[in-house]
Amino acid sequence: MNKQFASVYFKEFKSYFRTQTAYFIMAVYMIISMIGTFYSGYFFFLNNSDFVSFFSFQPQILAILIPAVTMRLWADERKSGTLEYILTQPVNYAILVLGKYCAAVSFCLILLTFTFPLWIYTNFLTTVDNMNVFSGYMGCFLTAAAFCAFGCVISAFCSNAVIAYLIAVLVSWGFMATNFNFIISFVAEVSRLPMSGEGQSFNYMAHFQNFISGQIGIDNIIYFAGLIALTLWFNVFVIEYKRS
Amino acid sequence: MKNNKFYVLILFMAMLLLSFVCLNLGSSLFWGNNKADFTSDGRYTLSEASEEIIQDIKEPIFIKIYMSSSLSEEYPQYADYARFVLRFLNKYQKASAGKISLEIKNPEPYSAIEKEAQAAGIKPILDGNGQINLYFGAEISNDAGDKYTIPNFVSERRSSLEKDISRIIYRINNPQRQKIGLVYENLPITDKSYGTRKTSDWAFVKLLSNNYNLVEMSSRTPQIPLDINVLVIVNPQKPSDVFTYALDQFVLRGGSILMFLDPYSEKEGQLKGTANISEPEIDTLLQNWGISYGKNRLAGDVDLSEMTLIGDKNTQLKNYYLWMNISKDFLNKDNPITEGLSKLSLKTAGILTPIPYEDVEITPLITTSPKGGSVEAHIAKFSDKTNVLTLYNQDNVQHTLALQVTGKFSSVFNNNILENTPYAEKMLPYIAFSAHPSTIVVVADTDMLADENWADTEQSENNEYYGIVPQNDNGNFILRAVDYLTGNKTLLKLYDKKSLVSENGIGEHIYGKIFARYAQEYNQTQQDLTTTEKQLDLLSRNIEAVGQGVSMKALEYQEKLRQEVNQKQNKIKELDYKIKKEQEENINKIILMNTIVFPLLLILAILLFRLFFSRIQQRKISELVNER
Repeated sequence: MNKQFASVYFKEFKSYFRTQTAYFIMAVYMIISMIGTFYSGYFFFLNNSDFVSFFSFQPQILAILIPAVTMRLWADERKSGTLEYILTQPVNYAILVLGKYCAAVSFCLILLTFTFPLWIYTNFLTTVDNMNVFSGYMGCFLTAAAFCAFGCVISAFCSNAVIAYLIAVLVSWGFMATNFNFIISFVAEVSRLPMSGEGQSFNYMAHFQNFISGQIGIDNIIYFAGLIALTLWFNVFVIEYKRS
Repeated sequence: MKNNKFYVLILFMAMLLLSFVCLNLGSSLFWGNNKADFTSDGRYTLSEASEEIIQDIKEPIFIKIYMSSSLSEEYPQYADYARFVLRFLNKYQKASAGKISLEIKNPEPYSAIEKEAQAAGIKPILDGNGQINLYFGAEISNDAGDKYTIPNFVSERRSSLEKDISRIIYRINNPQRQKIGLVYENLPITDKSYGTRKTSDWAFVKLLSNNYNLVEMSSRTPQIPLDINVLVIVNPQKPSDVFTYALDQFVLRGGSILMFLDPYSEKEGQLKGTANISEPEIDTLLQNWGISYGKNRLAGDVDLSEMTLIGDKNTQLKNYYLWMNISKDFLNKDNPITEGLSKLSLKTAGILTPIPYEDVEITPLITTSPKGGSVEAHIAKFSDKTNVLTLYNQDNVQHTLALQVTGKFSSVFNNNILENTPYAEKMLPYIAFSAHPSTIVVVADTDMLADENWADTEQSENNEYYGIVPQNDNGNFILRAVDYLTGNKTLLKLYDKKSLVSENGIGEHIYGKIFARYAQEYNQTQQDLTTTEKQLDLLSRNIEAVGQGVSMKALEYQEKLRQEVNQKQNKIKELDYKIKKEQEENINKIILMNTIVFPLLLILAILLFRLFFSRIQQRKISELVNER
């Protein structure tokens, strides 16, 4: 592992657990997730072989909580004045961004593993399609990863963590809920390509639904991977912009 | 300068957005249709037969789904199933390369789309308040005007969804429906009025008429029409010579027969009384086709038997050997009719024995296990179940319950039976030997056809065929046998999907587990209650008939019975309450464990982990300080 990357990554990752924020986020995530699953998701009413009661509300929950994980990434550095110091160090900005981003994603992974006991427990209650559930968790992980990328960029723009949080929640929610089919309609009209089947390619929910239904395609992976990669690239660009 | 940098930032963002759009357009155009099925039961993967049917589509097919937007809010279980149906139909659309178009319509109350849905035959489901009509059905049609409607998608038919859709597409592709004849006596299997009593079609008749042009035929007909290739005969009595001749000639001309015989039809006994049950006498024809049928004995099986309450006074849940749930191990896996089936339910079935003939191939389709046994048919008819079990003979023979005969036969008649009558001229000429090989499938049970033995028809009132929820493979066996005999090879490759998803919610699973602990007590009380209620009813009617001259003793006994009924009703209520309370406690426990206990334990584990590492770090630092 690149030494620079490792030092940034471990520093950021450890910092989550140095304060109470991490434990608070974990507790809130668990409570909201379980209430969503058991009550709004009709956990006991449905068969849940695909764990749908749990996955149905994950995007909304993650859109609220992930910004809390990422809000401090750059904003705190700017507030405390350490950003200027870091940026003058002989370190590649891409590695810097990646290290911070991976630390946030690792924290999200731990968040998700907190719900594994319910998955295991459900196996004792009914027949669970574990392959499908695994695919659903992949969808949740990629969602969390995408929201982390948004959070990173927004944190780089802001010097106040609370503002970074609020904007990130707004962006994540907007991204999750907006129907981007108008892009498809526009492209189809201009190019006259038969694109009716691809109408869902920009809608986040359509891609996420593919994961929770166990129908993963290369297009779904490319959607998330592309989104994350481009957002992080933008993050690097923003850091360079801020430095200058 | 700063402004310029800002523009560069905006430009860069726009370029990134553009590249994201292009990347996604490209990926969905190239790979959008290819999905890996990450489900253990492959529930979204189309079978080879469906793919074949889709490839054969000649004219574009239009699938219009009528789905109310508020359906999911009103009925959460539909939300899950609706997602599944839409996703699955989407698979058909993608596999068809443009030959199938899918349209989803939302029939808002009192809208033009609602009227369109009603005109298409989509049946409404009332919302929770019973005021607004909700819809979840489909119309599948083509330009030629062939049209099929699924009035409601019934979630319990989840495993049959692919079969249903593929069969509809197949029928739209092949609009000429094959004719099959139906001959029956003694059992009211079709929609008829008997005086004031009205019967509706049995589920298996709905199943056949949904797929074929089913023609009812008289059991006195001297000739089976030439356009009928397959005859389904249910419980034939002693057929007239004329009809025997008709069957004989039908088979010799290459016609196929699916015949259900029964030495003891319990269903007929229920309807007419056991003393009036008829016995089929069709031995001459059967023997001519290579089948010996023992009408005096019934088959049984200890291993495959079904449990039921047995005994008059001390009722107990016991295995009744004559009611058999035949598992896939005893269904011929190599025969297209029984291949892929997993469970058949037969009750008081007869025993078939093959008679080997040259040029005739006999294949057993359904058998008992090697631990088969038998009992005299009259014992089962006229004694109670306890007695049947006592007199049951465990002969450890694997009895054949259904078989298939294929080959060429000779006639049991020497000439046209109506020769020298004016009818003879209108009839087809007599033939003495088979012109073509024919196939005859004989099943030694008619009870397997009765709805209660294979289908839940609660939802089929408004939804004739697509509301039938199969409980076992009896219906599939009948349909597959007819598909096989009519030569529909593609349809034979369509099976129900083995789905992991059961329609019972987790709460019901928990209830079931708790109920199992109380089942014996609950069933016993229920049985006692029924008996006491019957006694009370009888006594009350007697008292009413006697009038004022009724004895004090009788009144006291009536009161005692009333009290007993009350006590038992209370006990059942108490048991119900206990089970529900335990279920609620279990649910609360699960919520508490997952919301509080597990997360706390995990956070505690992380804290301990952190403490452990900080101790190690502190130790290392103090060691370093000490060294210096």
